[in-house]
Amino acid sequence: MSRRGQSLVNDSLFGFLIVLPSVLLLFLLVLFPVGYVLVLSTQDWTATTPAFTGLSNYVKLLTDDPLFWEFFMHSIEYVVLAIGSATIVGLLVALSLNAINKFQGTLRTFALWCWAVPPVIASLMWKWMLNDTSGVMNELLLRAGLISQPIAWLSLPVWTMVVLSQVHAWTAIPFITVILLAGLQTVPVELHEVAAIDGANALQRFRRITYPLLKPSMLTAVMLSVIFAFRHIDIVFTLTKGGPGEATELLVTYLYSNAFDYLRLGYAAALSVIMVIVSVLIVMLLINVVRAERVEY
Amino acid sequence: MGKRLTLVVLIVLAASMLAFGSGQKAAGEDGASAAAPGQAYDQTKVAWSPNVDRVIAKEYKLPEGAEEAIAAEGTEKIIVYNWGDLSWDPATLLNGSLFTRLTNVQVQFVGTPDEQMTPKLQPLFIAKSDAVDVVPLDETNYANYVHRGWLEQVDFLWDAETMAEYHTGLKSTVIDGHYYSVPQVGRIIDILYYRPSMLKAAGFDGPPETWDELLRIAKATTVDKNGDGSIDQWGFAFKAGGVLDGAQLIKAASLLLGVNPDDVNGKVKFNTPESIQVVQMFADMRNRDKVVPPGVTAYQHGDVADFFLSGNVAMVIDPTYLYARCVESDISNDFGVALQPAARPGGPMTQIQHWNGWGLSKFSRNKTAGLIFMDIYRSYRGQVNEFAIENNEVFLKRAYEDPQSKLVGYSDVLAKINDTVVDIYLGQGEVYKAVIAEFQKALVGQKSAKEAMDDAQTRIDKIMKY
Repeated sequence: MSRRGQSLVNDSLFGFLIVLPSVLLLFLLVLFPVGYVLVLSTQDWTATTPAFTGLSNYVKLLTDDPLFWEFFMHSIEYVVLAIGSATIVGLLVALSLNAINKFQGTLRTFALWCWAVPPVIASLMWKWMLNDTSGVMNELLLRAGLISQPIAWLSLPVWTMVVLSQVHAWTAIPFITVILLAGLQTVPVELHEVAAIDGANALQRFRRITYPLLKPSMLTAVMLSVIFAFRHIDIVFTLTKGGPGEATELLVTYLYSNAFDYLRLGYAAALSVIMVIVSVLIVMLLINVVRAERVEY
Repeated sequence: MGKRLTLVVLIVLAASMLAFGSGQKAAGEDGASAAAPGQAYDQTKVAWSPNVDRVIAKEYKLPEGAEEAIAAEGTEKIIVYNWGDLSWDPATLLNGSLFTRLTNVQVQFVGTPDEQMTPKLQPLFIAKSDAVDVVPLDETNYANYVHRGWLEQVDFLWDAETMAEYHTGLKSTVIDGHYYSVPQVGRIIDILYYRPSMLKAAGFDGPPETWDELLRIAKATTVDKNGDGSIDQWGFAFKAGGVLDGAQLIKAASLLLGVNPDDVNGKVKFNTPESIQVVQMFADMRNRDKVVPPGVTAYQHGDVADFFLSGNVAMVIDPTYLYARCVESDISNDFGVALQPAARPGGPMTQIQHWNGWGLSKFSRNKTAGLIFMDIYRSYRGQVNEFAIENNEVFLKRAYEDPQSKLVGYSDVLAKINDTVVDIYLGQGEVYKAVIAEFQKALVGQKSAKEAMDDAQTRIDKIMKY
C-alpha cells in the first residue's frame, strides 16, 4: 500500500475492513439463524400469526411432555451404541492400516469407501439388506447356520435400536478411522522401539504409549461423531420411521415431526435449542474426561 | 479481548432477534389483511360461473376474461410442485401441456419427494414467497395449510351443481364452510391383489370374499417350499410401517365393520370395539397364525407392492397404483385383482378414497393462471387423463364413462365400489402418528389390542382437545 493509502487507512481499520465480509457472512449464515431460532422458540406458531409465549415451550417440553424424555433416552442410547461401536472398530482399522506397509493407498481407500455413500442411499441399502423375507443378511446367516429362522431385524422392540445404531456405526467408522490414523502418525516410533527393547509387549505398548498419545485425536473424532449422530435422521427415517411402536423414535425425528408434520415451529425450535445444549454438555464432558487423564512424555 | 468478543456476539444476537421480532409484527399485520405480496385476487375479472358446463365439457375451454387477466398479471410461467418425480406422472405432464396450449403460459413442475414437500413449502409460505404458485395437497397437509392462511380461498370455483358431478367424499375438503382446493386424484387405497397360481396350488379357485376366507387361504398359501424350516412363500402381507398407510389399514378394516374411526358421531375414535377387533385380527395374523412376515411392522409405502412383485406372497391389499406395476412386471401373466374381502358375507363395502388436491398459494403473483391450471385438472379432460394414463382414480364421476377410461384393466372392480369416504381434519397427521405407534406395539406383542388402542385414544383426545 502507498504512503498516501497508509495515511488514509490506519492498520486497525484496514484489518477491520479485511475481515468485514467474513463477519457479515458469519452474521448472515450463523448468528442470524441462531437468533431466529431463539426467538421462534419463545413463540406459539400454530396459527396464522405467531404469538410470544416466553419460555412456555421449554417448560412444556421438560415438564409436560413424556415423549420428550422417552425419545431423549432413545437418542442417548443410539449415540452411545453407534459411536461406541464405531470408535472401537475405527480404532482397530486405524491401527491395522498404520501397521501395514504394503498397498497402503489401496487399503486406506478401501477402508474409506463407505464414507462416500450418501446417507440416504446407505440407509436404503441397509433396508434391503435387512429385509426379513429377501434380505441378504438373513440369507448369509441362514447359510452359515448361525440362525434357523429369518430375523425381522427392524421389527424387534428391544433390538431394533441396536440394529439402527450399528448401521450408523457403519457410516461413522471411516471418519473415525481417518482422524485416528492421522493421530497414529504423530506417535513417535522411537517410543515403541525403546519400550520393545525394555520388554513391553504389543498390548502394553498400546496401553502405555499409543492410547495416551492418541487421546486428543480420539476426543476430536468422538466429539464430532457424537454431534453428527445426535442430529442424524436419515437412518431412522428410512429404516423404521421410529417404529416398531416408538422404540426407535429419537429427539431429531420428534423435532422433524413437530416442525414439518404438525407445523409447531415454536415447539420444534425449543426442542432444537435443547438439543444444542445437550450436545454442548456432552462435548464439555468429553473434554473434561480427556483433560483429567492428560499424559506428558 | 474475550469479553469484547462476547459483547459483540451478544449485541449481534440481540439485533437479529429484534430485527426478526419487528418482521414478525409486520407479517402478522399482513396476514390480518389477507393480502399477498402482490395484489389480492380479484375473481370478478374472469367469468368463473357457471362452473359446471366448463368442468364437464369433453374439451376444456378457457372461461371468458381468463386470457386478459393472465396478460394483465404478466404471467409467462407458473411453478407447480408435484408429489415425487415427474417421470412417474405422465398424466400430470399431459395436463400441463394442455394448460400451456390454451394459455401460452409455461409450467415449471418441481418434483419433490413426499417427505420433503412440507419442509420445502413451509419456508416459502412463511417468507410469503411467490416462488410457488400451485401446491399439491393431501390429508396430512391440507388442513394445516388452510389453518395458517397459506392457501387462496376458491369458493367461486364451486357451487352445488358442480359439486354434484364429483364423488360425495369431496365434500370433506370444505373447511369452515369454504373451499381451498380442487381435486387432483382420489385413489382407492384398498383392492386385493392375488396370485391365481398360488391359490390354485393350495386348492382355491378364486380370491377370498370374506375375512374368514382370507385367513383360510393365507394359511394354506404360507408354505416352506424347500423344507428347510423357514417360510419361502407367505400367504398375506400388509403395511404397518408408514404413518398414513398404517392408520388407514385400521380405518379401512373398521369401515368394513361399519365404523369410521375418523368420524364416530363427529369425533375421532380409534378404540371402538370394531377398531380393537381389527387390531387384534392383524396381530393374530402376525403372531398366532404366522401368515404374514414378522417384518410387516416396518413395511412402508411401496414395500408391500415390492414384496408382491417379488413373487413371494400370495395376496396383498394395496392401492390401485400397484396394478400398472403388475402389468409391467415378471408376474404380469399371473396376478388378479378383486374387491378386498368383506368382514362378513353381505357386510359393508365402504372404501377409503385417498384424496390428493391442488391449492393456490396465497402469495402467488400468477393467480389466474394458477387457477386455470387447477380448473383444467379437475375438468373432464384432466380427470380422464389421470385415470386412463396413470390409473389413478378420480373424483369426477363422468370421467369413468370415457372410452379411454373403460380400457383400464380393473375398471370392472371399481364399478362395484359405490361407497367411499374421504376424511380431512386438523391434527390428522398427529392422530395417525399416535395410532400407528400404538398399533405397532400391539403387533409386536408389547400391548394387547385393547391397551394399545385405548392408549392411542388417550393421545388422540389430547391432540383433538376433546
